Amino acid sequence: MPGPLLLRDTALVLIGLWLILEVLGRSRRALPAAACALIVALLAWRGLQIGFVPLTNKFESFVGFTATLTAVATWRFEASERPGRLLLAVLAAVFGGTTLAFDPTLSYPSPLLYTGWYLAHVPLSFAGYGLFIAAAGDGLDHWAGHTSPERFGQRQEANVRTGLLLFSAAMIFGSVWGVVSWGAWFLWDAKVIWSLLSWFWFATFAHLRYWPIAPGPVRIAFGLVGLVVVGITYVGTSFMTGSIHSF
Amino acid sequence: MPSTRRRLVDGLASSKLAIVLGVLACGLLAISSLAVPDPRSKDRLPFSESFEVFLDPVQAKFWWFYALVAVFSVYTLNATLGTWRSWSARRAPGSRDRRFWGTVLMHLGLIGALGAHLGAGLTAAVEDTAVVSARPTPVAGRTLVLTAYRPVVNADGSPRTAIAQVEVDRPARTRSYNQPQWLDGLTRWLLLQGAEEATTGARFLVGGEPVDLAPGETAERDTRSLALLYVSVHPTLRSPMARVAVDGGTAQWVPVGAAFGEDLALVGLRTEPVVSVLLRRNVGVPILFASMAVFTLGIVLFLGGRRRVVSPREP
Repeated sequence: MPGPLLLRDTALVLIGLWLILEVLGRSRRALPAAACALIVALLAWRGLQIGFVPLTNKFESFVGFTATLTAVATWRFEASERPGRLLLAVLAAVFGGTTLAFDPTLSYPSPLLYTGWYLAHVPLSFAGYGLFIAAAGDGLDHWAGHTSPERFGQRQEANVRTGLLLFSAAMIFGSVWGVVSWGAWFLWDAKVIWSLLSWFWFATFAHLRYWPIAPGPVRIAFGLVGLVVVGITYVGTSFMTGSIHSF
Repeated sequence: MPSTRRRLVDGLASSKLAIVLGVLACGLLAISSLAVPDPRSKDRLPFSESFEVFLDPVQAKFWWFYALVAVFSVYTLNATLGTWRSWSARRAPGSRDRRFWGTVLMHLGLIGALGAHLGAGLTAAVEDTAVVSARPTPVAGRTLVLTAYRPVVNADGSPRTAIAQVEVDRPARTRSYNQPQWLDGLTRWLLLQGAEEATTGARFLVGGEPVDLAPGETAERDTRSLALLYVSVHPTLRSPMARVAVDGGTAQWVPVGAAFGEDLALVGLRTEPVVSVLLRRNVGVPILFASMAVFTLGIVLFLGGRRRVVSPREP
């Protein structure tokens, strides 16, 4: 299926261009927006082929996550600075580029995935991850001296709070899916544990403003640890204790 | 000067304590993810919320679990006290707007979810698993019968879903994957976990007449007899065959088409639809669903409210 994959390839070129222009300080919102549109078009085509949301293998997962990163970059473009956008661009390039190594063959979901609960769970999780990464980027913006403490606090709090709301909804849908599909909303599996950990980390992050300490360094550190937490939850759990959610 | 009791309650209700407990919980959860056995290994922990494996007996290797219980207990107390105090005092800024009530509902939803998890930990269990066919099958004191079955496949022939009608001591209801059949309120439910056309018997020609046998049954004619022991995939040839004993002789594998003299022959294997089901029990489910509904309402209220920083908690 080389035709539709050209959409991904073109998007990768745009992401690369976005990355270069971001380094040069001449980036435009249209670049991540166009990359996002192309990837969404690819996913829509794949979805039409299988009659369901195309989130059935690691190729589609990484493509979908790349779309999320470009969407967040587009949405938060004006509310972020070069270091933060660079973080999103680098990650979009890494995740999008990695899909070149994956088998793009279309596959159908297993019967237990054919449910609206799954359909809502994964995109909402991705949206939450994307905003949590943007919050880490806000910390880099402040660290590099691009934002005042007030603006940094407002931007990061908005990203963490919105991300937490979306991720909470993802956890709710995922829990109901677990109950109606295999009978449990929690099990001792690395992916499930780290999803819960992510929720508690960012819920704690959202309460940081009540701690009467200098907001800058602590918030930057929370954002960067959050970046690691998101990375482990999304990708890293595949390498831990043989998670049954492994890619 | 505030009394010791007042200071204790203030401390237990504070957001600072919530932050400390949140970080602590994350640390313990990270440790637990490294400590739990491989979910595919034979010593894996159950795919369930049940605490039983940690309590019977108590083991030092599960120290992280007991620490988590302690942390989440104090966390629940902290969230309850903090939310209740702000709600009752109505001193938080913007306490009349929807964002304030949204955050109150989200905190209540979290408290309910933690309570549901406690209920689940003490009661969650797999009551039974079974393969149900058209013949009545006992499952956890009930009788299950598959009364209708229709597989649905994807364009490439892979299974998409199966529509199964399983009768459970009452009129049958149509169910599919991801569509539990709730029993006893929301505390027990039957789940479809697999569906297939299973080989369950064999058809023989005995003296020119077709005879269907189930495993364990015998057909006799004149001086001859044929016993069907079972039907299975041959261990080395990897194709479905019948294991039979002819005229009281030793058991042998036979493929479709095999004949035993002029008046005995295996002419086909009988398939019938079967579904594998799982009967779960968990009193935490209705509490969890109610808590999630409350939390979701909180999210909706929060998103629909004015953009201002509010909280149901005291700083």
